[in-house]
Amino acid sequence: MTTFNEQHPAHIGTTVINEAENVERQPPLLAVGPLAWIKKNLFNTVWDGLLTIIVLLIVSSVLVSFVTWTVGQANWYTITFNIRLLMLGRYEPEYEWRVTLVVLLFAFTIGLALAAWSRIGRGFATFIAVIIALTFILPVVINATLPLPPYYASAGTFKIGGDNGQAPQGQIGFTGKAGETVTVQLADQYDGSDAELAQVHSFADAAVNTALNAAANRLIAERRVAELTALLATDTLTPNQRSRAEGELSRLTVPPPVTETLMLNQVPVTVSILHGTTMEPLENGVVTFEDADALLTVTLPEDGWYVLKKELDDPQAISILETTGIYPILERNVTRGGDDSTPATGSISQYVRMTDTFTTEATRPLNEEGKELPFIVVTSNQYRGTAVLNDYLRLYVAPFLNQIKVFLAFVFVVGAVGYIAGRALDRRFSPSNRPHATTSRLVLWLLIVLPVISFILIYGLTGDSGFLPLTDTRRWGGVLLTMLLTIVGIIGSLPLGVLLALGRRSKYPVISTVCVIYIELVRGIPFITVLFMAQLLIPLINPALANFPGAFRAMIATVLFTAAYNAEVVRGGLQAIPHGQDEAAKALGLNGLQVTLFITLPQALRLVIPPMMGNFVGMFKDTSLVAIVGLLDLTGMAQNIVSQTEFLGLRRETFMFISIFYFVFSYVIAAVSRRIESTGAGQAIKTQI
Amino acid sequence: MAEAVPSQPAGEPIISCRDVNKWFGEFHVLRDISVDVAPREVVVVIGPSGSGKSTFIRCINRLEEHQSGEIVVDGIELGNDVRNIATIRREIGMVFQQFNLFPHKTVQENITLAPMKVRGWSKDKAEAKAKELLNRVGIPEQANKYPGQLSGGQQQRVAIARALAMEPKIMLFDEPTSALDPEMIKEVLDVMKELALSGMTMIVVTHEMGFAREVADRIIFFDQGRIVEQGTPEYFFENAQHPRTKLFLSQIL
Repeated sequence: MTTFNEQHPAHIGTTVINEAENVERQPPLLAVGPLAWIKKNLFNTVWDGLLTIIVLLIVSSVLVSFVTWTVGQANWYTITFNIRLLMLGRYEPEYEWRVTLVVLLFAFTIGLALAAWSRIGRGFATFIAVIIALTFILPVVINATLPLPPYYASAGTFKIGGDNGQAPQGQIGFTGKAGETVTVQLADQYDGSDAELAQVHSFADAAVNTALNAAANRLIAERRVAELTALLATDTLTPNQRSRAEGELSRLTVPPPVTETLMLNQVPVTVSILHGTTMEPLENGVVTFEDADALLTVTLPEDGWYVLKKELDDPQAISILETTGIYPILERNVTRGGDDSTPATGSISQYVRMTDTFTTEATRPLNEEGKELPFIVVTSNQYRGTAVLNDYLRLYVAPFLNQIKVFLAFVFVVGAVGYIAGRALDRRFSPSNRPHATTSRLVLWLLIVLPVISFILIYGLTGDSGFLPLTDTRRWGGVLLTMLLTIVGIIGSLPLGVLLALGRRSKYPVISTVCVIYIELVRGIPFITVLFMAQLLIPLINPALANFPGAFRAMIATVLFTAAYNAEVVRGGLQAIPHGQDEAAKALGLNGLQVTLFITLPQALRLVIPPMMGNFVGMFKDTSLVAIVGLLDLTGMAQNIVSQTEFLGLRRETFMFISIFYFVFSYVIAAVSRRIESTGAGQAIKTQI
Repeated sequence: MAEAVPSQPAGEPIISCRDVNKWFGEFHVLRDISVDVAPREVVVVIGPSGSGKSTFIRCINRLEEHQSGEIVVDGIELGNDVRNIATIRREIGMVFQQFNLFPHKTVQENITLAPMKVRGWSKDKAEAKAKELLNRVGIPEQANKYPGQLSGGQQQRVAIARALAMEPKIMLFDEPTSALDPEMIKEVLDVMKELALSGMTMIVVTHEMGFAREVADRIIFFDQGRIVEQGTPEYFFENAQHPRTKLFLSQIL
């Protein structure tokens, strides 16, 4: 048996010195790359692979149906029409500049803040620039390359679909811009088969829609008859099944082809385009169509109303015309004036063209009897059938971008100016050991001052007239109200929450008991209840408060409610500060207030940034509950819009849009909070005040 | 035991404790502690853990409240009078085992905070003092760093500078080297030695027997809340009488 030392004689009585130099070495090259990643993470075992495939299948099917709906079926004009309502509510248009100014001030401050606490990479700047450029270029490209789908108008006098059906309208109003071209021709595919008819997707007036539906229904019936006949021809049916199939077959009737019964495009039709005020035909504005080759082309002389007049001699025939340059219109009422300085001008009708939101306020044309002519209404002329990507881009994307592009560009340009200004300020004034001191100090001051300025700008200052007249809080709505509630909520609830947290930890029993009761009481009540109390109970308790604006009541409710949650978060932060901090500060002679103010609270607040931001995101989303107490915040406005007849049935589109808005904003807050945690902006706040 | 206290200070004591008692709940931490500390004296307090030595020095600046007896610091009695407590804390600096620097403030801000807020010094004066003190503890180049960026020894030296910035008459050290790596203990002890030589009144709770032997004017041995034995270092390390002291010394030396 040998001992260890006999086996390793070098160790006996020797000193071992490692004289190797430290040489920098790379880690071994692993199998890296996308394929290796996929293999390792997605298909590591059979079960992993199975799970991956199942999840991918589910996700892709959801995604496919969502995209199909978004692009192919949704009627997004509820958004393009109502974008102002959704953003500002019914905020006085003449004061709209104030809200714009507030947004730009915030954009400037955010630019400054980024200069102080972050760095914008070339990539990010390029990305933003490309986005902005796209909002300008895309609509132009779309409008230039993709034609608008035609509008199908019917001519004739008898009702399609019998006595209960729709009769074509002899004269119909439409709006157009100077220089636009309007063309009319016979819709040639309409004298073809029902199958062609059923596949038409475009704008069509009510009578044409009826014809299209009739063709589609006839085809369905025809197909079902063929199916049943084929079924009965086989001998595999049980007697029961056979009798059921026979019964269904006997109930089915297949009407003759729509194209035949309606005598579509068989009779000459005279079409004229009249000026909306003079009711005189435009130059070259009258054509009688006898065959498919005839074409009417006019150029509109000015912005405003025109009339499409259709005359058909045979009372039993119908013609369908394919037009370009004529599109459905939405009528909306706008209230002008109404404050003391300008006399009320009352309600004005605006006529908005669906395809590009071209808006006119000119009065509608009148017929011979002095009655207002009907116009091509959005509701009865919704885009029908499964749309295609072209139409989605042309009808919804381009008008939407056209409405937001200038504002968006302004916001980003002002933000960029703020960023550049911040960098320049720091280069000029900041000491070298704290290169961002000047800008971050400026940002902190702005963050304190800006909310006050913004509120004064939006609400007003000087009564009914003067420099900044008061605005009507009942007209606040949409994103404006949502953001006001959120920002006031944050600014109010943060200090209140801190005070409550400190109070709860106070060694004076009266204060701590009051704080505990308040916090636990509020946390035990649903927010909606607090809102109802604020809206309904306050006037009961004190009648003098009956006229206190509902928006302000909701703000107070938000502040009081969120403060209780903030208090608990801050208390958690205070508890997490080691006791030694408190002792060290006391041992230095600081008094209780100083210890809290300079030592424990700053550390606690920095610690609770993530949960606090979580609270604020929650509060931002909870502001949607004010819709239930009758305020028209983003959610309330959406509800309001979908309850209007023009937008009936467009719930999905409207709520999808506001969901996207809520998500994007919440995500931005969360991202900013992660950024604050990681970049040490919280540090800057505390060291530089 | 009279001969065991050869160096009971002469003249007016700056700290005077008479029959101090304290309980944590039912637990009797301090039993009839009576100690006087003369100005410029360096007192080292040793003893097994749980013997009440930390509690004792924390009573001196009232981080802990004693429940009976009397503590007089610099002529002011420590009672429930908040103004007295504030005045006394201003005159007593304290250094903790865990440093307890303020992590959200730079080294310089850690040092200047109290002089500016409590003594009402101008920023310039406080910063000049901070610079001087950082020089004295040997880390002038760290002024703009945050505590988290420093080593343990450096942090503790900042903590000493922070306490000194208030220009205290007395310094309390609560196991200042216990949380340090062995390599860093010396740099802190050197600062403390320099401080002792400069004539600061110090009470030091420590397990560094070398430091005690070299710097202390008097060593006090605590056990079970009681002062068991005290004396000069020479007496204490070579001639301790009490069996409990002998046992303790035999275990740590």
